[in-house]
Amino acid sequence: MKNSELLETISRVLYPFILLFGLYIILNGDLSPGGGFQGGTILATAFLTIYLVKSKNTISVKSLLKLEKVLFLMLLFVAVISVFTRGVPFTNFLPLNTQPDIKRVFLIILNILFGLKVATGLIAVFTAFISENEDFDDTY
Amino acid sequence: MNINILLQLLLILIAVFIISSKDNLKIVISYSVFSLIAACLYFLYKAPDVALAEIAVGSAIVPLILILSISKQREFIVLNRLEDSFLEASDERSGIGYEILSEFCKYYGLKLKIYKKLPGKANGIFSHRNIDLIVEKHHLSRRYLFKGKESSILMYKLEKLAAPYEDIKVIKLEEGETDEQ
Repeated sequence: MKNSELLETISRVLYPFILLFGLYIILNGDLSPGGGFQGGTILATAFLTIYLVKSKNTISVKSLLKLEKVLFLMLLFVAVISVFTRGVPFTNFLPLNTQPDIKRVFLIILNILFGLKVATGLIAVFTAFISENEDFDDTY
Repeated sequence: MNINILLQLLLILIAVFIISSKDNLKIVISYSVFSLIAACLYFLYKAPDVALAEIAVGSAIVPLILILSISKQREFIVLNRLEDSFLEASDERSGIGYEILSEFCKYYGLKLKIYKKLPGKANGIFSHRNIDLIVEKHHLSRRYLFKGKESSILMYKLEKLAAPYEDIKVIKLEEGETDEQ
């Protein structure tokens, strides 16, 4: 892909702001609109602007998929913690009569894990799409 | 409420434009405009959650993937199975085959890529490598064979370009035959 200087500069400027916005939406997902999925997709788009700057990819799809699996297992683990603390699976691991400000922690942890999982999944899809012809170039 | 009706009318207009347009890049850009307006409508109908997802997916990720695939489609991939310099490019004297193919690609605005051999394995999303043309030499008649897909419209133009040369023959294969190693 041919890159123009304008596009490169603008995406360099926008990159940290998009990352910040994605993190903001993930962290405030329990109080305001948004959440894990929306923030994760915004994080992924922030990452994809890197490809506009330099079209060569440096990450391998396999490590991304491994990270995604680890995040999925962690999600399951966080959901099952409540069996040990309250005796019921798939609910908040804090007792019912705690302050709402502290009970929020459970939702924030779930949102962060889910957002990272969505982001890695989308980046893996996009990286696989980009590296379609990369191995072809090496043989020539 | 007037804004909602205006935006809905705009959505219909853009959808008609997307269907009737022929330029790929214009279609992609108007698709992202379409999803931006749809996100505005979601927000006005009190579904900000859906609007956020629509902005991220509909107007950023999908157009990016489409633009990438359009830029990949602009390549004309040729598999070179010759021993001599028929397809070789150099500054002083390039081969006749290379000149024909580069003229052909210039006509359609494509990017010419010539490969010597197939890679061992393809680890992209699509395992089948999409090769547009295979160039070979016939053993007996010593003619150069251009093997391409029969379904491709581009082959007619190539046939016309190669017609004045005696030792070049264009062969059109059925779908799936070009994949043999």
